[in-house]
Amino acid sequence: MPVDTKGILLVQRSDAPGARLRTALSRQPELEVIDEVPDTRTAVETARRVQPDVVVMNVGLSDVAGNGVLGSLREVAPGARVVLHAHAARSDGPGSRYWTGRLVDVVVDSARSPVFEARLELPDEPRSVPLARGLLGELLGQWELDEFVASASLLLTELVANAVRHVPGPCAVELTHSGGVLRVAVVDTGPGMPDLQVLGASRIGGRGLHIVTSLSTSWGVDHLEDGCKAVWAELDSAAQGAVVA
Amino acid sequence: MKPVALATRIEVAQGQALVYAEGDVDLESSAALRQALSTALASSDSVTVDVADVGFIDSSGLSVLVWGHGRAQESGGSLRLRRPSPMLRRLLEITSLDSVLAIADSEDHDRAASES
Repeated sequence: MPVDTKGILLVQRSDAPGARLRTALSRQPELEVIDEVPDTRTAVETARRVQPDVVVMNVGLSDVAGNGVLGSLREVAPGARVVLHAHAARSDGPGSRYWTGRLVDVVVDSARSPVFEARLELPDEPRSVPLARGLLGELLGQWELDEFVASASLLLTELVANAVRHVPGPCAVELTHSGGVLRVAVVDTGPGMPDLQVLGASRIGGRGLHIVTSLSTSWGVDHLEDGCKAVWAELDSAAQGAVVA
Repeated sequence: MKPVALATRIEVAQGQALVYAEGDVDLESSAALRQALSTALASSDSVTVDVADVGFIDSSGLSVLVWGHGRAQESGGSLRLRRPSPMLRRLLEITSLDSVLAIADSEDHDRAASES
């Protein structure tokens, strides 16, 4: 393996979307898929043995949240970055080409730079909202970024709830921490754009984006390939003292 | 901060309803809060929601509180919050709901209960 090649441990089902991701990752000159395992228990054993640079794990395959796999991986392979995804959920349909490409980008970036990254794809169901928040809490704890939890939980909840309510089909949560800035982004395939509502005492809804505006240092929308968009919000660690949990 | 399922409990004393909410209020659970408020509003137009044990609430939760307040007002009553967290107080300010949803004196209901 050349010196600058990063070793990938794939944790995923051996199905068609898994094979597609493996192929796409293998095409990257700076990545090498060193092993592929089908479950989280084997993943921890294998990570201990092969010490991968990046673990790319499909969270759709088993009970990833709740079995402490992130903590176990950190123990056995402290140098490894973990990229979470649920790629199988998007094997076809709108945005799938972008989705695979973006996931590969995330893995490449993650292997290249000292950045914490996580990506999670979620169905358009209300239960995705607490699921995303739970994962955020777990990751921020693991990344020792507890000061972000209160604000980031609200930002992510509002963004995921918007995607679940307004866009049919799955959405993806992307978390990045770099240079003291935490970025939460929600990618969906909807053509609609976020619309700030006028605040009114008697209005029932329309407050979500005002909360996002007030709690974030900045937020915005990125137009992506293949009809996708990302609504993102950033939090600066320096500003977190102002927010009371 | 692990997500906590929402649980609600309703007490009615001296014509006043007190709703205890405990857990997280978001898009998934706000319907349950709405149901609890609806039940409370059926027995009283003066409803207090004790939110001390609400660890998380988002805009969908605020919407339900505003809806409940509107319902109570229609019959001449009101909906008030009791023991909001600093974060909830901040959210009420951000969304200008601090002028709509009154914060109840946390002794009110206890006094009413002890006099009954």
